[in-house]
Amino acid sequence: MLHQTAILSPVMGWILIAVLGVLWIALGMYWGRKAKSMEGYMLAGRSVGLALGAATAMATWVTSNTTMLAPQFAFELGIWGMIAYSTASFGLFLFAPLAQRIRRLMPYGYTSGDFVRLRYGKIAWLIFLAISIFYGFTWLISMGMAGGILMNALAGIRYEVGMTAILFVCVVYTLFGGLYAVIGTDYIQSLIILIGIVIVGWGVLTKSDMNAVYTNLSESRPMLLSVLFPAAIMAIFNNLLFGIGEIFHSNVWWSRAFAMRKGVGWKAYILSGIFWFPVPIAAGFIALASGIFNVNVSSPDMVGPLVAARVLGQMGAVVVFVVFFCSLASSIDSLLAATSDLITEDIYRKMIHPSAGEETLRRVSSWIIVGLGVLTWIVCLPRIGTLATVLFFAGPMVGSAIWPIVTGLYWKRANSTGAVFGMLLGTAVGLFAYFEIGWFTASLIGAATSMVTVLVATYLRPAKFDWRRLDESQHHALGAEQ
Amino acid sequence: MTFSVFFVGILIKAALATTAVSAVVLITLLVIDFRKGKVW
Repeated sequence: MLHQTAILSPVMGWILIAVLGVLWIALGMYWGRKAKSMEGYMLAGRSVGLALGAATAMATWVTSNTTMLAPQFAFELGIWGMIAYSTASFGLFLFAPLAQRIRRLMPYGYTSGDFVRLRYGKIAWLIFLAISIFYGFTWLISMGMAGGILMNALAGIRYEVGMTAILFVCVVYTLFGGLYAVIGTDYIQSLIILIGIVIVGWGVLTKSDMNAVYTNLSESRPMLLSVLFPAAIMAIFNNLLFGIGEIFHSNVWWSRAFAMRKGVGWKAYILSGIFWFPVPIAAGFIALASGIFNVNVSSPDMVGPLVAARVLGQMGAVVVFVVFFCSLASSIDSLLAATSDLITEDIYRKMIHPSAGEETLRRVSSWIIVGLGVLTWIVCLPRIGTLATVLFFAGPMVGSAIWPIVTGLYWKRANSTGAVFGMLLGTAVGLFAYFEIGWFTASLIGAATSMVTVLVATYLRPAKFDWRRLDESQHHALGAEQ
Repeated sequence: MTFSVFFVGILIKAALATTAVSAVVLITLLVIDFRKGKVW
């Protein structure tokens, strides 16, 4: 069935998918030839430079959730909504010093799971893996769904078919190229996203009268312009903490910290935060113009593409389609690679087969990438909710991981009891808030509960952690010392 | 109390301008890394 609002013909949609799909797969296979070892496949040889490092962090963080949810935030929460979404860039800024410290403390580390295992022990590690893998999978689902929704809305391609196409392309090039393919394609995708957002944003801005937009909002939905909009102000803190929690704990960001050259990590994350900050505002404001263009918004997460297509016509729809495809691909590939690394390194190699050789690990990693793609496809088939409900369900979990990660990296006295109960209680109380109060409070309450728990546990039973224990290459020497 | 039309206009234009500059900076950084042989 053709979507009522489809602007592009399905043929044009398929042409764009084919061109972009072949391009990413070809580039992925080309760059993938550099991955001669498992370290090359998982961490791009630990030698990624500043340009690629900043671009991959920026592009990965510009997801379908940014390009679709930022307009939704503007549409539902107004001016504060756009600014609230931009605060997710603070996660990138704040991760910059962490990235440098991670690279220094763990020169041979592979995953965020490695850190939690070495710092807090097995129980905290297992809880962390459950949170991290669940979150990664939730993010993958939200983007698989976004791909299907986008292609249906813009080109009339059936939801299931569009979703299958984008997952297939991303699985194939990640499979062949590993992190080399992911980071290389991320660079090109980041440029396409930035340039595309400017083209669409500038086009909408020049074709709409700002005074008319403002007057329309003042009359029809004045709360969107209010400085004191309680739900929107709560969303700022929630989004800020959700963003910090996502970045601090997720292996997507840790793997990049391990992959960047020495001294590059902190610069790359600061730059990526600067690049990312204006994107939700530049992409989101067009939703505010929906009133004056009489756009019929059937689903709030489609408001951005619908307005862009209405105002800019076929060319606008093509640009929006390409930008969305790139923002989806740049995040799906990163998640497939990072989640596969986490399962391969932390579950297969550490728990099941410690003596596995490089060839076996590479084969296992490939099967996990394919398995993640198939599992995501199965869960995405029935459209289970809006993007916000899918994504923010993981909010309290990632919010509860902020304090165990930060205190674990900087504070010798932080202990495993605090980390374990911080994650458990933060998740439980945050989920209670999610269901009883609203999604916009869940991360905030989860992070606050976790903070209190970690601080109390540290005060009651301070540890005396030896930082050298995080470097597994020193474990033999440490054992001899003891 | 509401945001003024002036503030909203400036916010949007500044966001678009910064996004455009980001693309230029990203290309420049790649050229610099390439010259230093530090792309990968």
